Amino acid sequence: MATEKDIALVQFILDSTKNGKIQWESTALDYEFTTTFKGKYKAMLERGPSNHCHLSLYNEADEYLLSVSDSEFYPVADLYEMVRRKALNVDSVIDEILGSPPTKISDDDIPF
Amino acid sequence: MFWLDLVGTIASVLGLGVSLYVLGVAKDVRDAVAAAQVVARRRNLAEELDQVSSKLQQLGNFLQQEEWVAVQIRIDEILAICKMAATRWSDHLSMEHLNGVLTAVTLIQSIATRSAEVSGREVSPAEKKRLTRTHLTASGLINSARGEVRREEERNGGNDGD
Repeated sequence: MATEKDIALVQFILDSTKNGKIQWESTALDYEFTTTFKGKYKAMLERGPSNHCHLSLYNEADEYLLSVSDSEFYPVADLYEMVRRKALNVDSVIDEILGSPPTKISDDDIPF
Repeated sequence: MFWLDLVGTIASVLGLGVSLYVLGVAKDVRDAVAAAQVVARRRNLAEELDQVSSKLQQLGNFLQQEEWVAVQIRIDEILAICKMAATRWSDHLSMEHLNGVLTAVTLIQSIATRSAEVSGREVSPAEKKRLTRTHLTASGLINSARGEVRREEERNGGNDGD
């Protein structure tokens, strides 16, 4: 069960990610992202097979410290979605699609 | 008697002056030694990051060739150097780049996990693309830290005729 401190940590990470103060990177595994704090703490953000998102924290010796899932604190799912969108540059893709001029069909495009 | 006192006094004053001068020189020498130690430590860190960068290039080649045993061996070497460097030289990296090196460690660990999974079968193009992308991200983080260390080394006279 997540404590108040755990929830405060998730909120801090969520705010820092929104402000661009925390840089997440996607790992070689599916649906998994990572970042490091204070030169020693590692955070992993992942979506499991049951579609639940988990944020886990590890110390410098790679020992598991805590985990908060979106079933305990829903903003973990928002954090996952935000990180996923940033990693895949979803907003840039949308800007590119919206910003591109409508394609005109010329006579050459019509094969008959 | 008066002359003896006078000579003694002058000798004492001169002795004091020489002592102060020697103390000043000793302090300068100590400062120079400390500065040289900082430069040497930074150079060691730069050399270790160069080594990691070179091994990462080899890792990239082994990933492309799907030589999974060689991938695991290189990853072990890279992780050992990175973890040692992050512990020994952490005071010579900014927090941003120290975080970057440690994130690179996690990314390389994930490459190890993924390559162990795929080693017994054919790798799909999507999996290979993901491995390559993760490898490139890790290389970028290491090279960024290398750049900072090299820049600091040059700024503080690390390349002064070695």
